[in-house]
Amino acid sequence: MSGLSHNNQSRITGYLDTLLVDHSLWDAKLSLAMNPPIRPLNTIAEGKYLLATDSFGCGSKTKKYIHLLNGLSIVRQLPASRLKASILQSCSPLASEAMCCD
Amino acid sequence: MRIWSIANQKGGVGKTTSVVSLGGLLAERGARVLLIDLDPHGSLTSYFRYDPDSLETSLYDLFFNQRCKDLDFIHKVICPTSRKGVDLLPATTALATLERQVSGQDGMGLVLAKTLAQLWDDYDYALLDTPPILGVLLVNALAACQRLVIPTQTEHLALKGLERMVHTLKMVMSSQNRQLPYTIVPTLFDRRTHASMTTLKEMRQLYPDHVWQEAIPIDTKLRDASHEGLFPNEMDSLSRGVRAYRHLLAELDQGQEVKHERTIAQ
Repeated sequence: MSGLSHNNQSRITGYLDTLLVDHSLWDAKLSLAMNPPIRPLNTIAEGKYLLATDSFGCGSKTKKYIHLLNGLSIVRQLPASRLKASILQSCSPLASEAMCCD
Repeated sequence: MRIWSIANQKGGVGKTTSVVSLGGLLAERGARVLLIDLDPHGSLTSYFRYDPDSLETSLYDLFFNQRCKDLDFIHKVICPTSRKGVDLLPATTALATLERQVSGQDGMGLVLAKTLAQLWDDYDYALLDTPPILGVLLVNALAACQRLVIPTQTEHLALKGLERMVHTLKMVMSSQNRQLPYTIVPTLFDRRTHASMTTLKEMRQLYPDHVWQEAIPIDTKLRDASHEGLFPNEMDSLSRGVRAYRHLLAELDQGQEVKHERTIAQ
């Protein structure tokens, strides 16, 4: 019997990780996921942007960081654009790759 | 409370029949049982003569406005069945729209776990009847349960659904960082057919540590019970199907389950 393709695997993994985020455990998860200094939930500064792509691996550090960013709804605060629409369509449902940059 | 999910990513394998049969046998022992219908088709709900098209409230409503933490509301949703001690958390057809509405939202896979945390002292067992597709409802069931029972029809096509189900389970376990024991239950077994015999053999070769050593036979009494809206053991407690489910229950009850603290679900 054949297994799942890499694409299917990573999409389903992202989907599951989105659904199974337990907000009450975020701080603990972040502590585990990120090396010090730990970025508190409220320190994503104004003027920073969230970039996202629809393909990425499922390393635990990245995933947990992404959940933080998605939870802050930064994407939704971006001005309307094709990029924003694309991010919302591909990133939000699948908890896809994201990074915060200046 | 002990929480068992009855799931397979293939339809028609005996999920609802397994939920009702095990629920009836647990009630026979005096256990307080909650049956939960997570399938938008509402087969379990219809079994007990509730109409999934016309019910005012259902599991669906618990996914919105934090109602999964409102015990008074949860009690309003729960319906009695024909047997004292067995209740039903019903489905409505609106559940079919749930995926579209909530699947992109963080934490939506934990709604049922939070609901059951509220009901922890009210029931001894919760049995979850799941839809045959990977979606927010199946994920809720897998995230909430302590044991997975996978009924699998003894015919070749069912092996693919079984493979998908086991794969999904492993991904959920990885995401939640916990182990979940599972038991594969061969169903609709007919020893007179070559297909049943060869599929059962193959199943045991593929999953040697997880396939139950017996099988649920084809039994028209199970169908008759469904037609009457009765638990199979109320209909005929000595039928072949009921006897097989009784053996299965004894096996499941002995199994070691993961410790699933109420506080985690809350």
